[in-house]
Amino acid sequence: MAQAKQIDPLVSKRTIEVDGVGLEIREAGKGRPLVVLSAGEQAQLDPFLNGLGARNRLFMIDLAGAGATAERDLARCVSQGLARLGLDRFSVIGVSRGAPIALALAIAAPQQVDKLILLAPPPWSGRDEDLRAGLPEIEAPTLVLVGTRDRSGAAATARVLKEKISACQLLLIYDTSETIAVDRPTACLSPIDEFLDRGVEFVVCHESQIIQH
Amino acid sequence: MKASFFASVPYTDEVASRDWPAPPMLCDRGAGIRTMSRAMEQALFAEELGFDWVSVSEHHYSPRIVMPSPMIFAAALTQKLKRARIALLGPLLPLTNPIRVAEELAMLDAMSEGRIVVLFLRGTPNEILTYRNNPDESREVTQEGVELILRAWTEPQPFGWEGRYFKYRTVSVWPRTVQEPHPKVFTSGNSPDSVRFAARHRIGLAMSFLPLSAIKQRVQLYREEAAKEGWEPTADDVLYRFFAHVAESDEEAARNIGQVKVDLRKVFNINQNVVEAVTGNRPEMREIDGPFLCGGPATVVDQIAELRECGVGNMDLSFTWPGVSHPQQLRSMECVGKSVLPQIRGL
Repeated sequence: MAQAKQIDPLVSKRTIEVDGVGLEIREAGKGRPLVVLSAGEQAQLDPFLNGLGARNRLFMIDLAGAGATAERDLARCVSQGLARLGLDRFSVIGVSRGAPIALALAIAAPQQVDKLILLAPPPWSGRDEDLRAGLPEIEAPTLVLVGTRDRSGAAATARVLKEKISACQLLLIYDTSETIAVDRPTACLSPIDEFLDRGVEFVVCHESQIIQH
Repeated sequence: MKASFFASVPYTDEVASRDWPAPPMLCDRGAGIRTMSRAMEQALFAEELGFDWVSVSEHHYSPRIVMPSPMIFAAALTQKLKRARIALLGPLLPLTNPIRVAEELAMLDAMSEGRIVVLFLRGTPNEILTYRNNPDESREVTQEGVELILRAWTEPQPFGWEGRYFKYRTVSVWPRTVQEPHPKVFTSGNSPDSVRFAARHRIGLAMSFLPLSAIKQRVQLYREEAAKEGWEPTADDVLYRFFAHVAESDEEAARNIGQVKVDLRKVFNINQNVVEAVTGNRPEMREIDGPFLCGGPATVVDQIAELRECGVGNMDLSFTWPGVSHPQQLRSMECVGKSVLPQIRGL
């Protein structure tokens, strides 16, 4: 793939402190507000983020520095931090280790989360019990993307999400590993875009099947 | 060693044309009935003789093998065969909707109470022409189709698929296959790349009409690649399809098959320039002067032992050969059933 264009000049960066946790928020793109939660992977995600930024106003939060803060607490910080920026309704993408925080956010702040998208959610750990118990409360239409070559256990996590969240779609991205959005950014962008536009109705095909008029 | 009877379903009457596609006007409407009923009788005879599997293939637009839909014939077989496994060798994935294939095979597995075996293929050059598929992409399409079908059979929750060649938003196959996790699956092992694919996905390896030395090489590569993936294939994972003619003695078998040479390039009966355009190169001359298995029972048992030595555990036998009549084919099947199969069980 060609070197992706930088998201600049639209990108801006600020740090907000909530309850002693410093959240570094990068903003880029134009359109619907879309919060991207990740944990250390953002540098590799440029082509993907660049694509997302074409139709969305991105608020990218890298939680790698948040350490051992519990997901519930971190989600509350994120919710408050975004509210402080005037965001009262947005969709959320949780990439890999950002996925549990995205889930916690959808549980803790249902009024804020419009749609929820998870990429390669990691295997459940012991400390996720609260999170699992809260899954049936999630009302936001949810899309979970898992790579067909993913050996991290994301598929098993995704099945639990599919079972417990009322409006959840599972989408397998062919020929990708746990770094789905790095392996095939376009294959992720197109269904995400449709899902953000149409929610669960994205299962309906409106692509014309006419070959020639 | 397991033996499969290949129900190739040749058209029963004489046809004046050897072209592909053969003009439909040459197909006698009544001969269509005779062709199907004779093929069914032959399949039942194979089961009676002790063959472990009856296999069907997919070929289009020609009297050579009248089997455009293996699923339909296999469905009939599930209701007639009481013991033999039914092997679909195999559905051509570039020509189909793989989810439909997964659904139909799951139905067949239920209808046969778990006796389905399947080999997924790309199709020969004429098959690729049938529904206007791009030959340059047929391997990738087939490989993605295989992965999709395996997923459709094993994924416990409904899912969508964002592939390179296939895109679905809703997949949820009912019924589930009777066999757990799914029916035995083979893919083509005719090229080194496809051997690696089979090893990577822990599925069976199928070869056809290759010489013994090539089979040995492919199986060796398959084992090496499987070891890298942390598993060890057995002879049950290897399938080989070939021509066979068995008679009471070597002399009688030689008389029956005559002096005919078969150029495997030409079995498709299409213009060589078209073949070249489809395959991307001029296929090598691959002339064979007799069926792979040929002779009286003792000779043939030795030949099968050699095949087993190469790592093949399932052999799919085609009893057709130019000049060999239908009654001679039946006698050949009978020789295999009565004098060969009892001797190769332990191999």
